[in-house]
Amino acid sequence: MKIELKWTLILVVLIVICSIITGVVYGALEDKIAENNFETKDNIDITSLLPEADSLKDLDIDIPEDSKIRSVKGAYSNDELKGYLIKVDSEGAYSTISIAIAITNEGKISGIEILSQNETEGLGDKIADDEFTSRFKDKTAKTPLTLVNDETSANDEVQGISGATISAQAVVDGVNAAIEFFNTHLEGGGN
Amino acid sequence: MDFIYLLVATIFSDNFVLSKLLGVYPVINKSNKKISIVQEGILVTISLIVMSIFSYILYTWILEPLNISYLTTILFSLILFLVAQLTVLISKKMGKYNNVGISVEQIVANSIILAAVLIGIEQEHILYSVIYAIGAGLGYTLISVLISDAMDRVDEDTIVPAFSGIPIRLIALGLMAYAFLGFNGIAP
Amino acid sequence: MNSYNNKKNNTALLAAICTGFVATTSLKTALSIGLAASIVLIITNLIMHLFINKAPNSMLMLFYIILTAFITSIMYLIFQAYFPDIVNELGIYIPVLLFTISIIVQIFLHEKKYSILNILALSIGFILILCGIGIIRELLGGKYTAILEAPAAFIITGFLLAILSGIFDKDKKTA
Repeated sequence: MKIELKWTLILVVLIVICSIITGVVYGALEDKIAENNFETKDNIDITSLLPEADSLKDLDIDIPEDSKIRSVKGAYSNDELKGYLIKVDSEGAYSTISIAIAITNEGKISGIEILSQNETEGLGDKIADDEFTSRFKDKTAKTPLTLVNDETSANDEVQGISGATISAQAVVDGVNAAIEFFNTHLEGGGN
Repeated sequence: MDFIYLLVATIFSDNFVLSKLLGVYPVINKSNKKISIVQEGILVTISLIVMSIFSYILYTWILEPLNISYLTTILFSLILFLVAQLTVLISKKMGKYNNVGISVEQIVANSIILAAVLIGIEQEHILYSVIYAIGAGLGYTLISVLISDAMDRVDEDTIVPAFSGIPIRLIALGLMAYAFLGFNGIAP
Repeated sequence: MNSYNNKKNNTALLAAICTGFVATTSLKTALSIGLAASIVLIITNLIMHLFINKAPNSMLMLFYIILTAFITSIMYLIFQAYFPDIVNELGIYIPVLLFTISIIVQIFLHEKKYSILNILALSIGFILILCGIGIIRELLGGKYTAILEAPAAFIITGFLLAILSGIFDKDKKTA
């Protein structure tokens, strides 16, 4: 009984030591982890999507209730409006896909990023890869984009992913919603 | 409605064994005795439910407010051990499950429990977390029963020796998983 | 490896591989989980030498669980800090896998010796097979998307194990 008690105490001490060491390691790596910020990717780095801008500001714009648009922000560089960051939610095959779309003042898509999705592993989740999202780069935000299977021939076409048509179409739909919003509410300086 | 959908999804379309590839070894490393498989499944499900309640409370009321969520793994493993101990104790006391012979280690080594709990704590409400745990446990039991049933139909003497045992079970599990992909269509 | 331990080792290796399936969608994830799990195993078993022959036998498992969870948390923090793309892909599966693999190996080795040499040999086998599955899935997955779906991991591993046991384990009766 005595030896058991002794080792129970040792166990408790061990747990405390392990917790403290983990805490210390966490403290040391905290900044680095925060930099990578997962899960809540909502605070995305605007520079990666719109290189000319360096900060985001809320805009005073009404967002239609029934649209896919979730939020619209202005992208600024030293108080000069460079473009917009529009976040949309689009229904994919199995999940809601959140997309951030950056559109420049001149009406060009400068980049998109998939913020969250839960599509089929290995198929639908390819929409989050750079390979797919980069296909939206430099498209003109005038007319809706269409998804095509082969190589793109026109500027308003985006090449899809074989085996993930629904997921890819959902992304295109989301981007189109952002384009429509841009054309109806924002074009020409917005606020 | 949400609850029912979540339950059906975790049992069928989002099954932990077949689509998340967790707890595979416990499923294929079993005798073919149905009754003990079902009993083991029930015990795992009970552990899952108890574990999800404790861990949800611990996480949302203590770990997150105090900002020490990096301790999650250590503390959860401790709870897991205690819950496993408790489940085995209860099953022995009840006497009914004596022949199952499930050990504490077997419950701790089942990756489904830890995974379901870690996903469960991120749900908005404790009820979701519990439903998720129930679904995970029932899904695990279902696959265990199905695979043992499939193995009953395989005559181990007639297949190539190299395939006997684990390989043939894995292949059967794979075919079953492809069939279960069909449940994906249920999602609204 | 002597033949006495062979069967136990193979069972433990099999259990570890089956647990690691989640990480086999690509070579990168397979390799990183394989390496990380091996590190957890080796460090945990090293530390266990402090308690062996001193602590009561019934408590060794609890010590092992706590230590595994501890090293796993540290590894997960390192992953979060330095390998964000792997965390984005596997998320909470990283701690689950590392923890379970370490525990399951210990259970099936079923000894309280914590022999490092044994663990080392087992880890190498584990990394090689996991990477093998990862490579096959990555290569074939480019052509046939069905290979990237979860079920393919079972079938590929089934065939791979059958081939391996056909080559190395001539007098095999049961796995």
